[in-house]
Amino acid sequence: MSDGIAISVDSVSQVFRTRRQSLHALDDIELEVRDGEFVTLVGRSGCGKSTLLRIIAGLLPASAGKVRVHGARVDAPRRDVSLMFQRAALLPWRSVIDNVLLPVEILKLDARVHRARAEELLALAGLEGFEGRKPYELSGGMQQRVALCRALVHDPSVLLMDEPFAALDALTREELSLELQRIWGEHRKTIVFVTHSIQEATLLADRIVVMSPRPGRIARILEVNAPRPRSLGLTARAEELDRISAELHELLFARELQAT
Amino acid sequence: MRHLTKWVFELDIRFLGSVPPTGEDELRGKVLVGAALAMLAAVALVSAASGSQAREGAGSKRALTSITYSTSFGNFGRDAYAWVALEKGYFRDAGFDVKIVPGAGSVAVAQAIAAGSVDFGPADVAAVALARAESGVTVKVVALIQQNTMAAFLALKSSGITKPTDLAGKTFADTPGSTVAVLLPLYAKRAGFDASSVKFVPSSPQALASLLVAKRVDAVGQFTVGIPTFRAATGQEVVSLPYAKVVPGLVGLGLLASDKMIRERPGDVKKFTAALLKGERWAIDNPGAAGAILNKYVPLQDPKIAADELKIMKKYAQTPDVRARGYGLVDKKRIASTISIVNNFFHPKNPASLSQLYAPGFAPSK
Amino acid sequence: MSAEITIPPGTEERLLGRRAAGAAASILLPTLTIVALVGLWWLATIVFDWKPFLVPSPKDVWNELVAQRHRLPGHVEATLVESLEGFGLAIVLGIPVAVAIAYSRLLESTIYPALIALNAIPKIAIAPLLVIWMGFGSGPKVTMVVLICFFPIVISTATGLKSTPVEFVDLVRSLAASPLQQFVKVRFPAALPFVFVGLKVAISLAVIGAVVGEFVGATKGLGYVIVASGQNANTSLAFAAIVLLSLMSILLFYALVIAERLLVPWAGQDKQ
Repeated sequence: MSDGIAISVDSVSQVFRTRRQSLHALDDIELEVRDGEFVTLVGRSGCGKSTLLRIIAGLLPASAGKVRVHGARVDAPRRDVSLMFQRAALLPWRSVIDNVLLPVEILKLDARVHRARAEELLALAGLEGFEGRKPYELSGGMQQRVALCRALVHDPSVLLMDEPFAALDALTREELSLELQRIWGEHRKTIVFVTHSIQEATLLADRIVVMSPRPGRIARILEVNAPRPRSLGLTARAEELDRISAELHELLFARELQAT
Repeated sequence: MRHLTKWVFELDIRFLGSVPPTGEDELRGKVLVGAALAMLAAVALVSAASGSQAREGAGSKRALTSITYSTSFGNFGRDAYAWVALEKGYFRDAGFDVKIVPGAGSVAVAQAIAAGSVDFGPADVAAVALARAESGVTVKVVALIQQNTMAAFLALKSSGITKPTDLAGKTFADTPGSTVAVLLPLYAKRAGFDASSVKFVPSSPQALASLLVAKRVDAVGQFTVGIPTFRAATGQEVVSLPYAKVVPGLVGLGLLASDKMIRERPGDVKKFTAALLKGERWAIDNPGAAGAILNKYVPLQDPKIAADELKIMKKYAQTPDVRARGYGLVDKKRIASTISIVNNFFHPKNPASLSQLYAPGFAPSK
Repeated sequence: MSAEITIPPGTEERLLGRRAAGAAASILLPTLTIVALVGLWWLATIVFDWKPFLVPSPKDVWNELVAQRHRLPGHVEATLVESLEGFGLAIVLGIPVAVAIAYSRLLESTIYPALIALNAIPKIAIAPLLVIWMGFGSGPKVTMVVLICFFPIVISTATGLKSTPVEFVDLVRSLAASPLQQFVKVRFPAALPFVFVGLKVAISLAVIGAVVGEFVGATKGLGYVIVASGQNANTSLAFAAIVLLSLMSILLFYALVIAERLLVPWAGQDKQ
């Protein structure tokens, strides 16, 4: 099966061709993500991080190179890889619990077992008692929590997240980052997390992949050795996180100045 | 010419661009605007002049009165006399500019005249008597187009219908306000069958022939003059069951005018009636030529079939009395008898009286 | 989630009262408007001295409704049944066509122009032909209704199916759902608000289609009543039939609105 490598990205490039021009979104990306590792992809707009995520997810075929998940070649979405997007995409005609159970229905898994699991996840996410509500009755942050439960209900081994908290206000964002960290602590998955936010990246990641745009390339990979659980509160030991934050800052902003 | 074009365009660019217009430009502008206005005025004058000239005709100086005339039913030979009066200038000589519109049966014509959207039109006297009695439609008969009713059922020979009692249990189509449909109960009673056993489907004039030939209906309500038209349209032999055989004494179509028009413009009513009756006389005497005139205005109508309709109509319209006293003759006794047949059979709310229904003085009377 | 705020006493009663007033207003205002219009109509018939066979007064129309109260229900039922049958048939035929258009580029480019051409034919022109072909029964009327309702239903459903929000599409694709699963679980429910737009347009036209069919050859129905009333210039009866037709149209439309609220409760909710 796999040798501890959950995801391997091998010389992946992506070119989008329109009638007038070609856009080099990604150029020769090489990346390995280990089982249970939390990796964040950080970069300015246009660096191709979302594109890379979609390629790993199997939603987009790469122009060149290959992606393997648990040793198997990715050419279509896999059942054991789960996605979360910036918009919660909860089906408004289903209740919260039925939304969480959507993957179970589609993948034709055991309903009863997974219903219990869904209820557990919702409780874990602080949404106990909301099972019967409809999505439009929930706030943005609550909807994303439901989306997270849905992403976990069928116990995928890999979770790919594309700026899932970007549409929320800063406070909710930080709260959900901490939630995610806690849930990940209990149900350890391989996570690839795309973000714009330096704070999120440092808070959550084992490794931070810094990407530069035009064309999208990996500029640097930073290891974050700060112990968990991490937070930005008074009890946190912030030195390591501050150092990483500062370094990220340099990388992202200096690079931009150099590019122009 | 090129100079002129260049001049115009230079002006245009100057005005549209950021270059401020010079005094010369202003002059150019004024000249162009003036020229445009002059042209518009000229066009307006010319069209007004030519328009009124078309209406007046050679040598005539006074304006023509606009009149709308409805036929009794569609654009068939039986109504051709209206186009004859138009073509031969009888209307124009009487001072009218007449527009002819197709009618859809007696009650519809009566209603349109009462409403004022149509000024004159022929309608069956019995049907109008009933309409006046039941709904108070304010119209009067001023002349009789036919002395005897031409109302009849028409059926395909292949349907096997030969006598009135054969109609029991059958289906027939006609316009809703037509004579045949309105007077069916009277016809059935006199002929001796149950009117309620007959199914009536209201239809448009244009659909009747196709309904008959498609055998969707067993018979249609029509006038006897319609036999040639239906024979041609269905391509088969047609039989007729005339109302006159079962209910003798009913007069035919009368020329209607609204109460208001009779009251306010009796001069116009008299002149128009005379012009129309002149056309009727000419059409009956010259059916072939009348058919040709109809075809000129309504190209879809076969002139020969139209002429055939007029030939059949002759014996209804040109009786010895008419030959003696003139077209449009109204025999007061006969018209009163028609009204009382209707009143006695239908027992309407407000039975119409002769004076309500007939306005004397516009046509020969007896 | 909920903060501790002190709410002054009496607020709840006031809020409830305001909501009740709002509901009452939404029924009261249209009713008052209609009453006012009827009043103006009545006044006009008196002031202009319109004869009843031209423009009947509300009283004439009411009298006619009362006089014919035993016969009119049969005609109402005839037109109603024709409208509903045609409407139902248009849904049954239209939704599969819409699905085909939404899912196949080839079918879209072949069916669409044909649909537009078909819809451009004035239905009233073929109405007499339908009578020739199908007789005086309900066939031509139901066909007219189908012809009129088909286009709006197909267009709106197809548009709805093609307008699935991209995040929903991504979601089901990422779960490797089959096309059938995608359709049943996401695409069709997401399209329902659009479908109802088409249904509401179609139902307004359905009654018109039935009446047009009845105009050219019928022996029952409210359209037939209007035509037959011309037999003795009974314009009051024609107006009475028109009043009943309008009521029928209004009730059918609002029945759909209620159905929409029940089946598609999320339409129009604020998306957060």
